[in-house]
Amino acid sequence: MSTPAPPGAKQEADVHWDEARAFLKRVVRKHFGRPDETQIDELTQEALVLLLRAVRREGARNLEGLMTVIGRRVVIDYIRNRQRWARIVQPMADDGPEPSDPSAGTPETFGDPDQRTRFVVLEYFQARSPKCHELALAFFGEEDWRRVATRLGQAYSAIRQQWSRCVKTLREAARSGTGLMLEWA
Amino acid sequence: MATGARQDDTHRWALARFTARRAGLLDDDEERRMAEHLATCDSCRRQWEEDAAVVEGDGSPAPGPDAHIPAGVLAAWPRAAKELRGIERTMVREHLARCSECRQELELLGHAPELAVVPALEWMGQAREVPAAPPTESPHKIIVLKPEARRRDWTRWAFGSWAALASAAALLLVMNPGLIGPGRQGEGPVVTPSPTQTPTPVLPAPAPPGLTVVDRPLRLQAALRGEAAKLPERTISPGTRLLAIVVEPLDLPDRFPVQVTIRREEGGTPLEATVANADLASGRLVLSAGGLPLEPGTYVVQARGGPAPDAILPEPQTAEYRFVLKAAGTEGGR
Repeated sequence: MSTPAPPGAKQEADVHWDEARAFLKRVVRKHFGRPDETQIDELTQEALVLLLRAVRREGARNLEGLMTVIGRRVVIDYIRNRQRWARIVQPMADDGPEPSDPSAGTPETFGDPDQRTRFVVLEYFQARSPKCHELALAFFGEEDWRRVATRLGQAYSAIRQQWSRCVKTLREAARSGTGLMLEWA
Repeated sequence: MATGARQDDTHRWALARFTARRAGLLDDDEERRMAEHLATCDSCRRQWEEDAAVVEGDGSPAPGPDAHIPAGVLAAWPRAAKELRGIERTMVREHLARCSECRQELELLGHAPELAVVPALEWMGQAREVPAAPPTESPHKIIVLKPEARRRDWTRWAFGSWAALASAAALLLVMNPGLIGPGRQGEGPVVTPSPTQTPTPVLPAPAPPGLTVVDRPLRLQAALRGEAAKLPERTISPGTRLLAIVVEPLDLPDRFPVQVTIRREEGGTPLEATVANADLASGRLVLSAGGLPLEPGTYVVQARGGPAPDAILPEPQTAEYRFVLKAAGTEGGR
């Protein structure tokens, strides 16, 4: 789903990636505010992947600006994700602004739990049910089921039932294994 | 007390399912129970609203049909490779098998782009055989150079399409069956079993220190016959592991196959691979030492293709490029 890069936008091959990494690390370090080099490195890696994907998708007209936004964003998301993970693995713990590190007792708690769940849902359906995959894309694209029904020429209730069956299939599949992401199953 | 314990259970139940709810994964009964709880519990409702605001406002594009492995998982790959479990582990493995971009991103982060099969972590459901992505989806063509650990005479070169990482191994094995033996840890294990093959446990590759990403491309111009032009040079730092190369396409259609050969003049066995003509100029041709630093020296790149079906002269086209990789600190006192 890439869009054509605007004229003058830097492409993947135009970026000096070693310098980009060093720049991102400086941004992450500045916003992270703690001397945790391991975490700073991990966040820098995440920022680098996001930068690469952004440049591949639409190029970069202002590379430094883009890197500054991405570097700051990954730090903010890290803090928010800790709170989300804490709700999953320690749901009754104190919900203050700095919950205890959920990864301390559950090393599986990395990344964004919502993005990981979406990834599993989309990946599962993509290879197994094109119809469910289409509905999952519509749901994650925040398309209302009524609009989906109209677009597909089906009844609203039929679309709801189809999605329920899709979820049931995924739930049954998820039950035949472990996994923090899908303990809801 | 019993009422309080039940209330705690309901809190736990609700909080642990916020993510599933945002993914539309609650069934009707669960959705009803969640809605009832949120209607009466200020604390949980506040947390739900805070989370929802974060998700709505994070600026992420809506996932498209080509949704990739989340960046946070790739960034934490050493942990992810050991901790992912169940259906998520299988989905990541299936995605890696068909997504050249995610494989390349892992490689660029210094990791082998594969996820080992660990019986204790595996999903018991039915994994799918996912064909590797066709070469046309490849964001990069990777030339993988594998120096021999002791003699370092570059006789173990792998050279192949990054589109199917495993095909680098397959290609090498087919063309030069005697060149590669069982990999040993520490030698830059770029040759890996296919993710689509029957899974076998794979030792985690040693991540090179630091992060390696593709440097700005080195643009090469073909030397005219007899011309003694100064060879283009690129000074590389000791940790440089990848180098993108851009050369002129041959006078052939974009998708016309071109044989590319690369060798190091100081010694080594050249290997060949076929790329599309347009790839020569795309910046997608990347020289790699399989996780190890590139060696200084003089390199020769040869491209040969054609003739095109409608060519006036029924002769193949060729072009040769040479360049020098210099180690930083050897520029002659500049």
